[in-house]
Amino acid sequence: MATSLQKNPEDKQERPEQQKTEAKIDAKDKQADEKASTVTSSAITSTEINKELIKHVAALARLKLTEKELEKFVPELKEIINTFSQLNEVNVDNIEPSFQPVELKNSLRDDIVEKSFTNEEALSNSEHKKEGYFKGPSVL
Amino acid sequence: MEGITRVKQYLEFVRNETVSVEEYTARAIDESRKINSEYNYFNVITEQSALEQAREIDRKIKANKKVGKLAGLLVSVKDCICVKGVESRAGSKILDNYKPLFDATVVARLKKEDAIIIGKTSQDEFGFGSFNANVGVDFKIPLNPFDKERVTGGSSGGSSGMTQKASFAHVSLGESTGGSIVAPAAFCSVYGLCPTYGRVSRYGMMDYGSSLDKIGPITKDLYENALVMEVISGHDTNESTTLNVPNEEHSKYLENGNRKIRDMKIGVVKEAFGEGVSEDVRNMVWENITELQNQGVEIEEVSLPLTMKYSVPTYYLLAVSEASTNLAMYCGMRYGKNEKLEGNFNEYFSEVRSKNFGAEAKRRIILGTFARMSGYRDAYYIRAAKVRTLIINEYKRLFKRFDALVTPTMPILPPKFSEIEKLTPLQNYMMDIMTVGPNLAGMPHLNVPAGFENGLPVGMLLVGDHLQEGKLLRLANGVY
Repeated sequence: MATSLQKNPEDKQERPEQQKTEAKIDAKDKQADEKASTVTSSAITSTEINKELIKHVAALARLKLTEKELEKFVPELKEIINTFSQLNEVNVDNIEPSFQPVELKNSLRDDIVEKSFTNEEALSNSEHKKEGYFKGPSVL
Repeated sequence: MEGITRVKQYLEFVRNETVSVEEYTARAIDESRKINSEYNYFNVITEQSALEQAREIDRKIKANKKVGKLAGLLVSVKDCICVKGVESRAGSKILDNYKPLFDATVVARLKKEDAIIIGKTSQDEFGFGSFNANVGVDFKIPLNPFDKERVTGGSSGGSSGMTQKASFAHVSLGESTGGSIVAPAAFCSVYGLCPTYGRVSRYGMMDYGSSLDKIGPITKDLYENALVMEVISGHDTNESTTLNVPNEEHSKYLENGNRKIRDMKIGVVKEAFGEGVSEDVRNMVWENITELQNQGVEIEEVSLPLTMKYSVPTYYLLAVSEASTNLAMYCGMRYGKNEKLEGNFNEYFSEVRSKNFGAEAKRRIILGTFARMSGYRDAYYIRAAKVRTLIINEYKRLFKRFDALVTPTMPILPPKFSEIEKLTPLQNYMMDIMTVGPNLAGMPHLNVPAGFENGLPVGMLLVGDHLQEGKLLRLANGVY
């Protein structure tokens, strides 16, 4: 699976649109997901930002935090999220979200095969490879 | 070096063979190395490939072959912009040893015009900072060219510091998501132009926030800035968010015929001169506004109430959300830093990421993952995207009546490292109050060096409507 450097098959769990389904990868995630979904569409209160939540979010993002990091991050993130909740003051009824700052039209090129990297080139930045493939960690 | 310090003169000397590009480049590399040992502006200096490029240009000129319009120009490039074959890490350990197989479009366009790449400049890891103090694990922090106890500003700190410090003709490419071109330009007293979103291709740039990232020139004078803009701008079939608009000759805006600015009208944003903004900064920027007024520019006080109150949380929620998805690709498999293949994929990816991302990268990944999580997504990510619409509208309304808006670029003078150590992450984010608005709205903005207070530089920020970079160049040209 020599893939393009621009596309990344293993980052699926992070895409916004797929968050909901991907958060259910395993039972632990699922539980937290159900707990979280009770807080729909409204900001959370300061008491909800705790060590457990931050640990869970970090795990979703494939980060292992040390105790020291957790002790530092929890109050910092609490302060940030609480302050950012001030966006609740803004009336956004009937306002469309902007995912781009300027108007963009679909930009498509003709479907013609162009020159791309050779197998060797595509593998040249990795140490973990075998028989022309990337070698990854085990799935189970 | 031998009195050739500005690009315009240097390019003429190269073309008429008054100067050897190879010799000039060799001395420039020497100087860069010296400066770097003291100020940490480079992550990599590309001596060998720069000299090869230089020799090739000398050869072409001797043989009377046609050369590009930037023949011999020395360019440093922010680390997050890919240069073929040169270790490109976006200031992060997680990209150790990554050597791109291709040039970013902006680099390819510069090389096509025979510009020479001299190195990759230091930055906050992936652009995550306003002071360039959030460098990646094992990276060095760049120091302010006017006072080594102070910050360069970030995240394009290496590009800005080097542009100020180099005695040779040199320009740099910076990159901005929420102010990373103009903030360090202000603290280092150079011109930094952040173009309209989509004006310059992002192909080959390591993404931070894809709906916000822009590449732009950081230079010592305005002509150099305009010259680089006209080379790097334009539609790119490799990048679907580039705008399909005609290219402009930006340097024309600086010609004599365009010097008159008395027909122009600017809005002075009143919230940007209030509480929390240092008096030194306020006074110096006002002096510059008065100068524009003396040139016949019409001045009116205006208000951006929503933007000045809500742009920081709006920006950070969107930027970290996008960053947390963009950084998911770094997991020690196909490129960059890897570890011994052990454990299952979750354990392996977590190991690589936890070891090699710096503290601010982790903070932003967690914050962004949180803001997009089901249950919180509507309250944070989507709400912020809606407020962004209102902020864009607020700018658009003002640009119906004004050619540009003006604020200070940074609310304070360049702070000491000992001062910023005491700030919480939230207080750090608040420093971006002037710059995140135009970045959210995709509006072009330019830092104009405004003068010095106690030996420290102040920057004035000019903000224009979409695609109106030309007006900003004309106005800045009128200040002096």
